[in-house]
Amino acid sequence: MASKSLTSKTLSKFINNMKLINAILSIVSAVYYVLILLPSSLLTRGSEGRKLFQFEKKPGGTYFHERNHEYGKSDFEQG
Amino acid sequence: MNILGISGLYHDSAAAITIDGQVAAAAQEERFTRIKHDEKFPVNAIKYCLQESGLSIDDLDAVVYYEKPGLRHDRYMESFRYYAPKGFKAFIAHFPILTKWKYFFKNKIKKHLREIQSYDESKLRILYTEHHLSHAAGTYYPSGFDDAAILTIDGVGEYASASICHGQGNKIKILKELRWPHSLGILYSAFTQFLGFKINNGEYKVMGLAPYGIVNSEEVNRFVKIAKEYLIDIAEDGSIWLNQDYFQYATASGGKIQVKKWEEIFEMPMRKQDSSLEQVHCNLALAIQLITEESVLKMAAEAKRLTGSKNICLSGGVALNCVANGKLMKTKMFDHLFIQPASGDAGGSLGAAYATHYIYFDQKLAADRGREHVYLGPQFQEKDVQAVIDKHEFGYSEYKDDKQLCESVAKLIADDNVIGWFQGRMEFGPRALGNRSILGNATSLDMQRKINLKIKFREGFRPFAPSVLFEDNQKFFNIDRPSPYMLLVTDVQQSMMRPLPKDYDQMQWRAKLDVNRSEIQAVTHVNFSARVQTVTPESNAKYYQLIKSFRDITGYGLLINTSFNVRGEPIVCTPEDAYNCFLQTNMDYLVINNFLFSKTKASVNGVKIADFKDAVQIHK
Repeated sequence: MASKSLTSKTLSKFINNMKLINAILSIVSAVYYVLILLPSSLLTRGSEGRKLFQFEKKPGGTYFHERNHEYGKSDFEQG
Repeated sequence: MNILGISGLYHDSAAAITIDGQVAAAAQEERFTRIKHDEKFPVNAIKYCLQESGLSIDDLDAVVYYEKPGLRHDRYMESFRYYAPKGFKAFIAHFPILTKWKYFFKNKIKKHLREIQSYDESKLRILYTEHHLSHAAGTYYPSGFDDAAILTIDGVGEYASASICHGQGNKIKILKELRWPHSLGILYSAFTQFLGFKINNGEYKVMGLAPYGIVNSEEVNRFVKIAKEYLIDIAEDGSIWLNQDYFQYATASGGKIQVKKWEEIFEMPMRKQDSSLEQVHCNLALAIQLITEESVLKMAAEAKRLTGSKNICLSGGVALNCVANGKLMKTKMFDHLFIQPASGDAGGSLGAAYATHYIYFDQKLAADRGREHVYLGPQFQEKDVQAVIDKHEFGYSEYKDDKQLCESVAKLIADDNVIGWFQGRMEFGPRALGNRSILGNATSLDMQRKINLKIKFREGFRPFAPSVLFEDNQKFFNIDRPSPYMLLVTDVQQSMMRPLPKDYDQMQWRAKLDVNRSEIQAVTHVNFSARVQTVTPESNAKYYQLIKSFRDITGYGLLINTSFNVRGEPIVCTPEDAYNCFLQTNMDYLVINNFLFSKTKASVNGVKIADFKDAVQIHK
């Protein structure tokens, strides 16, 4: 009985402390992950991701990416 | 042009204001909130910068954030997409915040600025720089060079973890970048974690531990070989590849490494925090230090090849690796070297402001740019000190004359007293350079242990750095150029060294600390290196006067200089912070401006105390 009351209190405290907005965002995130991100992961894993993350060792090569870009006014406007 | 630069929200938040290309004020948020590495929006630092520069928000031509939240969001998303289904928990934790920042970051900035003062929102111009442009601009523009190779290396910005740029006139061109998840900064942090220190905090400890490693020993060589076989590939141009099978930072919050796999390859358990340090840990620290140096030197050579410049500017967290910097200096690859003293993310605020001034507003390089690099924080007047005196009722002596004060304090230091030295404007960046410093006698045999254990309450192995009169520099150290920001490690001169026991190299690592190895023992690390700050009358007149007075008494123109704080706390900012730190430690005297305080006359809560031990009891 005491243990049940303790569980109930803990649960109630947890719910009270949890901000509703965070809970909603977490649920939205989870749904997004399962419905969009995971399927897209399966489709792109072999191409874009591999290129971006350079998973393969390149003995004798370079891991630098070329930029050759002179910064200008337009580089500051987009966040 | 009045520009406010802001950095933070990940760690080390800060703000800086430039007026017509000159930095008017800069400070880290942690100094005001007293939370080390505080990552919150730097409301207090901004307030200070506005106040110091005499500007209101309406006077600002631009507010610039030091990186692009949208690009960071995109990098996280691509990372999560690639690694799925790994990283689900981290995704749930990060996705809401990053998405909010991507689309509503301007609102966030506006909201926080409203907390500071009201302003006309329609006139506020909010801009963003790339993270590594902030670092590059933060070191190139104040360097005084009008042509330089720029090398920035840190954990990660948006996508980049390192970049090679070319600064020419008021322009910066990015040539190459190393991208996430391959990062020298993260690799160093990964070893920091495996060695039982806190990430983003313990990297200095690893650097300080490395000299206890046995150079060319079988174990160090084995560790380097293992790291290169399983963890890292270093290309000829210094770029690196990290084997993600052994790391987890791309998919998990918190730790960087796959602990079990690291334990398997290094055949040792991960060190638990605060457990004892052994020779094997020193050897592992040396191994990662050597790997870091190899990559940094090769990247610098690549920067030289690409730019052909005789100057180099360094920034990013890895540029705080003074040992690697010292080795780069010794190669003489470049004629001149400039390192931004606030090379970590805090300095990003300053760099973002500079970049906006020179690139966005296309301003010409100011002839006297870079006049001031460090002493950019708050300073306090006599009335502020008097307020602390009145509050705490402690006894003091007041000196009307700087020379007399310096002579008295120099005598106290010569008698092996430890002094808290609080003067003028607070330093910007992680180093205390003579305005918020704890000072001691560098020739004293047990001063290192005393300050580490009884004053800083930190690990006894950690080395101390010297502040030396510039003109006496080469008497003590093998260095041929100024090092005003304590960012170069060099060797102590042979003439300072004492004869060593024959078995010195084989001695237990902690025992080396006790060997009388140098005339300037307290600032000579066990491998006879020192992280030097050179002081001139131009860089810090009062501090120079103090060291000179010490030389007049002892013949040695140098002091121990360590930051005025205790373990786990930020460097003191106000006289009140200084007083609290003074009371909570075994420091012997405190100097604030021209007031000299001693423990014998101190009081806590109005209770007069005779000595420090009583004070500690009262506090407890």
